[in-house]
Amino acid sequence: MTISGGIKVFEKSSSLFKDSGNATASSADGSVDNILSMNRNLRWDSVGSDDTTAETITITFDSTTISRIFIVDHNLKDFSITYGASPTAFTNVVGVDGSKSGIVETAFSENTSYYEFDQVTTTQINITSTKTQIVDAQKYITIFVTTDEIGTFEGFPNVIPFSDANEKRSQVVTGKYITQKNFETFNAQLRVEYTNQADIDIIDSMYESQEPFLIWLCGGKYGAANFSVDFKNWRLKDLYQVQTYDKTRTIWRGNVYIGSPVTSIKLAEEV
Amino acid sequence: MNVAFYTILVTPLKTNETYGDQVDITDYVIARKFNKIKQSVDSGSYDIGIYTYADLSLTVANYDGRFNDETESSSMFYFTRDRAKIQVKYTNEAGTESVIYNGLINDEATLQDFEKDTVKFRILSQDSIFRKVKVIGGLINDGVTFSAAIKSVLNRPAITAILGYDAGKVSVGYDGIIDDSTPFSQKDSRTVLELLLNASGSVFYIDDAGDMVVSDRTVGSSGAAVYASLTDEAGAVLTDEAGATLQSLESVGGSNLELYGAGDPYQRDNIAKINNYNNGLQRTFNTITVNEQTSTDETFVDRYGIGLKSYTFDFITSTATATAIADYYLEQFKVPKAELKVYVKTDISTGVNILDPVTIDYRKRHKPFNGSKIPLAGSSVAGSEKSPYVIGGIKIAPNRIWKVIGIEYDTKTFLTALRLRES
Repeated sequence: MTISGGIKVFEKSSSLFKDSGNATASSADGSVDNILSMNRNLRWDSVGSDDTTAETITITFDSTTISRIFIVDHNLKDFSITYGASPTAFTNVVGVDGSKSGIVETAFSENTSYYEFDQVTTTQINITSTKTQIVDAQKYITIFVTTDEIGTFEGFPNVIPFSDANEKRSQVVTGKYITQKNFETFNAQLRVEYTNQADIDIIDSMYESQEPFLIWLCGGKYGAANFSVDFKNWRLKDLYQVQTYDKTRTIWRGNVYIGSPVTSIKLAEEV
Repeated sequence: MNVAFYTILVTPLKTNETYGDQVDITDYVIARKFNKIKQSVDSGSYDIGIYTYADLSLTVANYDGRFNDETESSSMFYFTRDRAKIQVKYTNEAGTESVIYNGLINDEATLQDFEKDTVKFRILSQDSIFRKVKVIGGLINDGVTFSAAIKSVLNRPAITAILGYDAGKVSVGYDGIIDDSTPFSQKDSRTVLELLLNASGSVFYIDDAGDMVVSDRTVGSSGAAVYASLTDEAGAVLTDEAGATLQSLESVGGSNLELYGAGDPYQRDNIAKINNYNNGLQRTFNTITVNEQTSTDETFVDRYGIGLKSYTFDFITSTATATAIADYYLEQFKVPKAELKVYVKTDISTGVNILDPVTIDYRKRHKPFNGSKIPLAGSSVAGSEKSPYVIGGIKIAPNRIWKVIGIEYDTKTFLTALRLRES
């Protein structure tokens, strides 16, 4: 069994540092809270670790029900993830490379891990890792996410994603420009047509959400079998916290109400 | 989907002193005419203020004549339209209500448009009642303190019918003695209150509970910062070039509002916009004259240039009192204190009052070098990581305490502009 469907939409992470999530680590404890935000520029790096050193990270947060976990942009090769103060294995786990018994990896080789499992209500996640994908490297994790799924598109939305460098540009007296590029942000327009009710319901949920939510354009697909090139916004690690803006428009093609509606929505990355 | 919204309510007068039921008129308020609601203290540039409650302009659709004055049978104002209470409430996405404005219709300024069938009201903040209440003879006597006189002015039935009065919420910066009370006679309460606030180095505002508050300009006690003087090894207190004591921030008590800029590593960013930053020279006064008694600080005059401010108080004849007032103002305003304006979502600003403490963590943004992550102290190995790009021209450290000197709600954008001054 593998991850199914297309673009995936999730609730925002329930373990964010700014929402009272906390993390402790067996080394470099001072920087491990970095993994509890959607900041792609900061991460946790172990200190003094090698492939014989077991590093542990414990994440605590307000009690919440979760059924999805991401570890975004990491270099772990073998690791296990459990939940609760008395570590308990997740059940019916499916990762990007198929079904498994609990979240246990022994030879993981991608930069982002994603797991679907039976819902649990918990306040704690435990991660243990010994080996890295390059032997004896320091272990690192950029983003850790606990969440629940809003929905997976069954159809194939027409997606126009774009990255914005949010640059500030001023023309100076020489006639040349000074350009200062800011943090890059993700934006996208989703246009859904020839689809079914479930996809329309996801669009509605996104539009009506007061909280920001997560969107994963690749939906867990990766590699040459799915994408001819490795392209920004469509990689495994491109998980964005977004919010809709502007109007959502729905029309009936040719005013035929028994045909397929065309609906579109705009998204932008949100803090 | 729960959304944030504003509600506008009116309470007409039933008799000259009693009010009827509150009525929701939100559906009649013309949106494009309903803009900003603001209150401020010391927030105008180049001067020392005591209070300004900005007035509100409200234009309502009057198709059925309900907003006509009391002479029309269709009017909802059956006694008088003047002095009807207007309240603006903000309801956040969670459904929690906050009152952000209380005012009174000033019917002298009402304008009615027959073509458009609209009525434009001028709403004055509730303290406008001070303009209509005269200070009667014997209310303030010679020899009473400034604070006692202020309490007498505020605690009048016509005023307390509209605004809450709690003697415990009246305290002043400098509590001098009134030598001659005759200048107060035949004046309205606002004029007298302004004189007393100026003389006592105090400000006036209305708190969330609707109570009148008089206090000095120190940051609100709910989250007051605790500072400790820095000393050298011998225990001597350290000072800067201008002679001001160097201090370190020990703690911030209570619930100060914590604001974060785009450089926050945990993406707690809640600042929508920050601007109008200046170093405070525009409100620096190092030579204060009160009734021809001058207090000055030559060190600060040499360093920043002379900043003059003078007051004349006819009710003070004692040169000692005049000098004490001048000294008080000199201490308050001789040191430049930075000011800025910060915009946040109204949701997080509804509990904020004038003089409340605020901290701002506005770091420079660090953007990793291409293909690298931002090096971290304690983790990164020298020589193996690349320095990040640093974005931004200025930073604000989170160990500075700011106090709110102005609040401006923008009803269209659901943003609130907080004008802050370093405490």
